[in-house]
Amino acid sequence: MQSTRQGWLWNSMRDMLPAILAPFAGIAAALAIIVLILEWQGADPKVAWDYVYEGTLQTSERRADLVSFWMPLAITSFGLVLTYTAGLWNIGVEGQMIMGAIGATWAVRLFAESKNAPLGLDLGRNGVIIMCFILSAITGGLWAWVAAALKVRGKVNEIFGGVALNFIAQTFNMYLVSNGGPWQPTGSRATETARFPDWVRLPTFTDYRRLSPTIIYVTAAAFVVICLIMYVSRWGLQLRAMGKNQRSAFLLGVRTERNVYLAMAGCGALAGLAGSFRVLAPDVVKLSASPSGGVGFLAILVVLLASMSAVLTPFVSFVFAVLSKGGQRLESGFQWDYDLTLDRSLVRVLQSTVVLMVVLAFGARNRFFPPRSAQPVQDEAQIDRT
Amino acid sequence: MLKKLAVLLILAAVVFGGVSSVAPRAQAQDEFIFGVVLVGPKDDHGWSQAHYTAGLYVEANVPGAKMIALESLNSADRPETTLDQVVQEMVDAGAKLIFTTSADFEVDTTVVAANYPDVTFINVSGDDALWGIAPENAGNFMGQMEYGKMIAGCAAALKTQTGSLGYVGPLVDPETTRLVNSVYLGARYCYENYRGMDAAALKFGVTWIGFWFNIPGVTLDPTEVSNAFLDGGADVLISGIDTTESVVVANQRAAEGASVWTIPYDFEGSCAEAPEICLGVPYFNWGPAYAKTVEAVMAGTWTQSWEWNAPDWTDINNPDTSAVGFAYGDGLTDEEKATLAEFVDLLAKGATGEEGGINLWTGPLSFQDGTEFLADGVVATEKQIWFQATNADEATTPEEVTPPQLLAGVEGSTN
Repeated sequence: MQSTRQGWLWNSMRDMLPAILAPFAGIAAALAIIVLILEWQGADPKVAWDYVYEGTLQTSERRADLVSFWMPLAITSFGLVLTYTAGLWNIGVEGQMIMGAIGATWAVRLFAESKNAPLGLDLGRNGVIIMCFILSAITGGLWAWVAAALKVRGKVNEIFGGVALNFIAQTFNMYLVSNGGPWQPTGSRATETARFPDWVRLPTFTDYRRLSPTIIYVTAAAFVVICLIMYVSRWGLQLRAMGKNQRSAFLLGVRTERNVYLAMAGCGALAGLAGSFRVLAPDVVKLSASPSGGVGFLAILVVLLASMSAVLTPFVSFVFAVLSKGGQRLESGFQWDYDLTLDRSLVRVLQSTVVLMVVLAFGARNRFFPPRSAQPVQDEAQIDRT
Repeated sequence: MLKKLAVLLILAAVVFGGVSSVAPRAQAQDEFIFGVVLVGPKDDHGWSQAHYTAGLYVEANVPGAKMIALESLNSADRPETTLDQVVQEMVDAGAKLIFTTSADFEVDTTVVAANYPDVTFINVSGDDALWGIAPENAGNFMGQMEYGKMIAGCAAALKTQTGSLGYVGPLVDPETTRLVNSVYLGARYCYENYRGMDAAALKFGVTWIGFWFNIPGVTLDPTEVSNAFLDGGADVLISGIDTTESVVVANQRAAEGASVWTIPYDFEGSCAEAPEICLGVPYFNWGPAYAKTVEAVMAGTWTQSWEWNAPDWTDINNPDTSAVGFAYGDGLTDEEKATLAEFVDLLAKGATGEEGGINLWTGPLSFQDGTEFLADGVVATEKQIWFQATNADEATTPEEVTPPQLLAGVEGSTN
């Protein structure tokens, strides 16, 4: 033991500094690239920033709209923490959201729309809304269960299974709401169901007609559950072990197949809830042609950037929500005030740039300054895989 | 843990670090701002571009008018926003009049308009104002595109060598069904009367992609649909969707030596993608209707209405007066153009009630399922044409109108 006090300091600095600097370097690189892209498009980056701020955070109404987009993104990310920690690439999350949206709509049709209500139950508003959440969690969870079964039973990689199931979910959704489908109202000209009856809509804030506190409560509750699973329960530990090495975990007594089912179904249930948020949003209240709209894929980026850390996902998803909504304002702002048309895919490019640069920075740090601690922190090991 | 903290701090810095006030942007004193919400890209060479062009027309012709537009508002392209939010953004930016230019916005426009009684809304192609469902500050207009489509059908019938036409349709609703039927009526008339062929021998197929334009993974791919038509023997592709995939496909096939032609839709300049094989394009000229509405709202004289604007029959291509037009394409020979002009003249006479004109919405016409649309000699009313339903005039709510159907003779389903 020759580690003097000085040596100890040096060693921990040597480990910590790159860990702290890596994300800084990543974000700095991303910002630099974003500034270059904006300059190249002829947009003043300072003005661009002002637009992003104005479109997301400046007024309480914009903040409310931001939150209503953030919540489904966040809750989907919570679910993905389960699967990605266990090493499961749940690409099918998009389809699970769609199935959840369909489930929530189905609940409204079963319990609330007098014309279609075959059950004739009088649940009242809260009862119907709870049924929406339950049914969306079940349909989303089942859809993920199918992907898990394909993986466990059929040896179909969850990525390929997920892509196929996404396609099926989207096609099924279109069948329901387009071209005179069973859920499209007669004579309707829009590709969507009828608006849900007024009396089953989510309660809203008095001042913000487009935001419901209910989805915030549900998301917060989901966050607590995921944190308990990941940081307290033995099951969270098992998922981590599977993520590191599924074979070893199995040999050490972890029931890996059962856990594949459970992690996928848990993620699907949360994605399903996100789908219900999307259709029950007070300014939507219907099933549209594309209820998920890529939010599930965005959540995958969130989880990768948060390196599967449950506590980071709310913040990373918040930043992504800001980038998405701010990006739209950035686009309209430059167009309306400066007659400058930015490319429509710019927002996606900006988001991807942030992810790419941060992941690259982590990769560079692992390559050039590998952590020397005997027992690496879990998520550092996972960064290796990304 | 430290690393997580660091990421947190950085994220916080990114979000809040650059907080600064947005510089107030000067707005001219007498500027009148109007919003245009587009369902697709403003340069789609089709439906949305035709609307964007109309906004530019207003800016050029109505002093003080300034457009603010948002393109591609649909749940696949912009999952982060809704019509309600966009309308608020436009109103915050000073808009006093907002055009929502898709059937997909119809229901939401009616709901949102009630929240902004001081702003005027126009849902293009909708009919909520006709039924009295819309609040007083929301109206509708549309162009009488069925004439443009009849001319398109005639042009296709004049050209086809295989006697087989393919129509790439968007989604099924009264409007799109009306337009498919219009093409069919025009094609049948010209095939019989100018080509001297048996109308029953004309093959006319329609495939619906499921939405107004291609959304990968969501709709059928119009490129594949177009190729399938050509592989199936069709030699004229007629587009009914917002974008120009069928034009591109036909152009590729023509470059490979095939004798195929194409008829785009919506936007006057859309033949430019395949000028040599383009037979022409039935297009909307929204400018005059936009300008009229902007001027009325500026003057405070606008009142709610549902308008179905006709072409200017003295010159259907007059940019200042005609709501719909037909731009002749280079794919037609001079002789064919002359024949087509003769057909347009007959339509004009029919529409204005002159002697010797034709009205193709005259019975006997029946639907695919065998039910009668119009009895022998009966001329359809405006509402019967609009809804493609026999009982349109008796119905008191939209739900009572029978669902639209394709005419007998058209191949393709309505569900």
